[in-house]
Amino acid sequence: MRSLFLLLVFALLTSGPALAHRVNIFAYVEGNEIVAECSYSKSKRVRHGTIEVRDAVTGQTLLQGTTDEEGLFRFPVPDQARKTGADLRILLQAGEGHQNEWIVEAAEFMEGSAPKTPAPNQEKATAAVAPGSPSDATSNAQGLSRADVEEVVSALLDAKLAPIKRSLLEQSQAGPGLREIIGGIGWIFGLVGIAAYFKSRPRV
Amino acid sequence: MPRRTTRREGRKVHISEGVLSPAILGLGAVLTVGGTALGLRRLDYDRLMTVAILAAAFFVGSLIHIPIGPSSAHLILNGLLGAILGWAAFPAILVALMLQSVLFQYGGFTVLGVNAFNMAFPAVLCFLLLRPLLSRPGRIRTVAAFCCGALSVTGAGLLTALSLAQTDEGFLQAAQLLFLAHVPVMIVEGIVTTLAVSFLARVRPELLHFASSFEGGSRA
Repeated sequence: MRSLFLLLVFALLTSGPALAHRVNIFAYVEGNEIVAECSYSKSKRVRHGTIEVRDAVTGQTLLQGTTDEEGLFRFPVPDQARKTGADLRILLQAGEGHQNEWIVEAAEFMEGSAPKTPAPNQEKATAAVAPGSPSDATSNAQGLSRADVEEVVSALLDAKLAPIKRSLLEQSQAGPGLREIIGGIGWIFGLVGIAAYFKSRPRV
Repeated sequence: MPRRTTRREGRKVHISEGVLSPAILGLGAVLTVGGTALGLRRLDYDRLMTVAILAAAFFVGSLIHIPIGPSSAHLILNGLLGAILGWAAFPAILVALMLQSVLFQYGGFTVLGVNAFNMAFPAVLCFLLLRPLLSRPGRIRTVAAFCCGALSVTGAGLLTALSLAQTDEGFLQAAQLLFLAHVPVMIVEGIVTTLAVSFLARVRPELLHFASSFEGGSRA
C-alpha cells in the first residue's frame, strides 16, 4: 500500500511542469500570408483544429479552415480586410470546449501590400509605380520608389523576426511550473488557515 | 518523447472561456454558490485540515496525465474528495479550480461556476448514494469506494458534455469523446479512491466523514 502511495507521489513529481491544457493560438504576418500557430503546449500541436477568420469590426466570417499536422494554418490576407483596413480576429476551436482567439491588427498586414520574398536586387530595375501613388516622381528618378524599399525591408524583417516571434510564442506557452504549483498549494493552506481562525471557538 | 509528438491532446473536463452561453454560465455559478454554502455549513473545525489536503491534491491532480493510446487525460480526483469530504467537496473543488484558472490558466473565471459544479456535484451525489456502503468494513467498502471514484468521473464527463450541448459540437459527440477518453481515468481514480479510503479507515478513521456522520453542522 505504501509503495503505491510512493508511486503516486513519484508520478506527481515527474509529470508536473511539462503539461498544459489550455489551448493557445498565435498568429503573425509573413509576407502576404498570415500564419496561425495552434498548440496546447510546446510539444502538443492542435491537429485538425477548426479555424475561423473574422472581421474584428463587423464579425463577418471571411474564411475557414483546419490546422495541419503541425498545428499551422496559413492563409493569404483577405482582400476585404485589406480594403477596409479592419483587424482580423482568428478563432480557434479545438473541441470539447477548448477555444481561443488571436487578433491580427490591420497595421501588421497593411504595410506590406504585395507578396514578396527577400530578393532586394531584382526590384530596382522594374520600378513599377505602385497604384495610387503618382507623387513618387522624385524618388523614381533614382529608379527605386519608396514603396519598393518598404516592400523589401518589410519582407526581410518578416524573415528575420520569425524566429523571435516563435520563441516569444514558446515562452508565452510554457505550462505551469513548479513555482505555480507550490504557490497554489500555499494559497490553499493559507485560505484554510483563515477559515480555521474564523471557525475556532474562543477559549475561555 | 520527441519534441513534435503525434499525441493528441487529451479530452478535458475544464471548459474554456467564451464557449458557453451566459444562461449556462449563470446557472453553473448559482448552483456552485449553493453547493459551496451548503458545504461550508457542514464543515466543522476539526475537518478543515482534511479539506485543505484534499483541495491541494485536487489542485495538483489535474497535472498528472495518464497516457491512453494516442491521447491522454488527467486525473480529476473529484470522487476522492466526495468520498471523504461529502458536501465539503464543493468549497474544496471551487478553491482548487479558482487557483488552477489563475495560476495555470485552465478553464477561466467566468466558467468557474460551471466547471466546479460539473466536478463537485457528481462527487457529492456518489457520496450521498454510497455513504451507507462506505461505512461498512471489508469488501463492500472497497467496492463502494471504487464506484465512488469511477462514477464521479463519469458524472463529471456527462455534465461537461451536457454543458456543451448548446455549442456546435452537440451533446452526443462531446459525451462520446469524453466518455471514451475517461474510461482509463475512471479505473485509475477508482483505485486511488479505494486505496485512500481504506488507508484512512485503518489509520485515521475519524477523518472519514461517514464514520462520524450527521454531526456536521452542529459545531459550525
